[in-house]
Amino acid sequence: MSAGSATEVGATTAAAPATAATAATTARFDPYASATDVPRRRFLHHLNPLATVLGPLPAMVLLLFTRSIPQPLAFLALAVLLLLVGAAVAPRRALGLAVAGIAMVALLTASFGFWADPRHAAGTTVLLWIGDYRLLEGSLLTGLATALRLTAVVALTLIGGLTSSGVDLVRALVQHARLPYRIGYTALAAFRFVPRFRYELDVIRAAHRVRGMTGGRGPIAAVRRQFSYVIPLLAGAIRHAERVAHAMDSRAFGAFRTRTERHRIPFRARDVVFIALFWLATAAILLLL
Amino acid sequence: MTSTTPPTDSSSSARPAAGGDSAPAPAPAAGPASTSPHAARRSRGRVTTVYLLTCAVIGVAGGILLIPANWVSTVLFATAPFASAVLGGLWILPAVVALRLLQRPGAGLLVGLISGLVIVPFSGYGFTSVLTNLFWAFFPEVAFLIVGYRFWTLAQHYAGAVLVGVAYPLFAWASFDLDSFPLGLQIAFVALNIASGVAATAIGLAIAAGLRRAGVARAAARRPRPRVDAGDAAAA
Repeated sequence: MSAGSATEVGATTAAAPATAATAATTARFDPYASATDVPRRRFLHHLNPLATVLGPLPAMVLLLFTRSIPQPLAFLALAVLLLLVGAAVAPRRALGLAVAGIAMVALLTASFGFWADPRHAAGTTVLLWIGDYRLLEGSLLTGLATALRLTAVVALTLIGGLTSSGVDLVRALVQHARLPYRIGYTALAAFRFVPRFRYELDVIRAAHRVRGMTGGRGPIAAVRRQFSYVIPLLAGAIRHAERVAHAMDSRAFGAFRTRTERHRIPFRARDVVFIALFWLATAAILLLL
Repeated sequence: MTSTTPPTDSSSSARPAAGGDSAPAPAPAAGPASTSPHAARRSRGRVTTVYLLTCAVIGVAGGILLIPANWVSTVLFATAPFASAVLGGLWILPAVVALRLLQRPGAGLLVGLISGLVIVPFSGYGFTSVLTNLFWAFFPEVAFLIVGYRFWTLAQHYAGAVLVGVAYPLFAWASFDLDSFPLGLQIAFVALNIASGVAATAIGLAIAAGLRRAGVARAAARRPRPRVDAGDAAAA
């Protein structure tokens, strides 16, 4: 698999005594980190991840069926407002997201307006003539509606995505949504496998190099080399997974119907309130706009 | 997830096999929570930890592949919406590898779930990625699901690819606003999706074949015959 992306995913390695792995993956991103040091007024971080996912869910589904411009705009404003007030996002990241969002609306408006069938927008003002091609105002408005709709959906997902981790979501699913804990803990173990791939890739590269399997120079050889890593990488990773599974089995993982949790993800009254308010706002936007 | 997940029962092989230390009776001393009614369920649809973690690691590999693919696809979608269909097949690739390699019920969906969870911090779509990946992983799986996982043929893999090639445009009709496009482009979009899915399936099958040759995942793969659980046989 792609080598470049694995480098970005440095995390604390598994308890395996592989010192090379520990050296290769410095803890830049810890998927198990909890957001306990976030100030209280950034309330989104202190909600159950299920609430930040379930709250915006109806809005996201309903947005797919809207064709108007005001409704996605209202949902976009709601999401941005909630994120500004309730999410602790570093200023640079917030700026990046804002720029990306505006660029996304502009780009999608242009491209969807460009590709749209002009017959649907017949009778509206012609904005642009390029040879045989005519860009109509109606096409551009259709594009804008699509762009706002998709951007609003992304903004709504960020309410959960920026304020809680996948690990906490899995924990919440196990504790409150009856996800079988063996599945849940499989997912938790999966987060640990990410840095493991980096380590395996380094080993395979070294092994290939020491045997002189460079396959020549140039971009084609480079691509072929990348593909030659796929099978050994996956095979090594699967063997690692089998070892981990045997280790877990030997410690009686899954011996009981229920298990105790080290990290509780409580589902409190505030979570219910958040979901209820969000659903009310969704209904209000749909009915009023 | 379907019948594949009897939630918490331990497999008898998973129990500390040393015996002797706590079980005075020769009967398979089931854990305090799992009593005899569960024994039948356990032997029918048992999910071993090895199976779960093998799926997890394939899911993670798929996730690592999908992190860059996700961004390329987003950029393509924003500039030339139809070109993003070319990459669509990548989303079924991990599920195809897992289903072909393991030939076990639920492998595709489990891999989809894991790959979705892995890319959540990187995708920019938050937890929607989980739903997206589950959606894509469902189709490679469904061709086996409808026959009750009784047989595993190559044709079923390709049928799943064609199915997702048709289903995704229908599902994404709204988000792409396909109504507003000329008919020719709509047909091209579906055709591209199918081609992409079939190509990804072919790649996935090749990867699975390579892994089989390497001799991995024997522990998690389907046995030729349903395995007789020694513990349950002794109890009967």
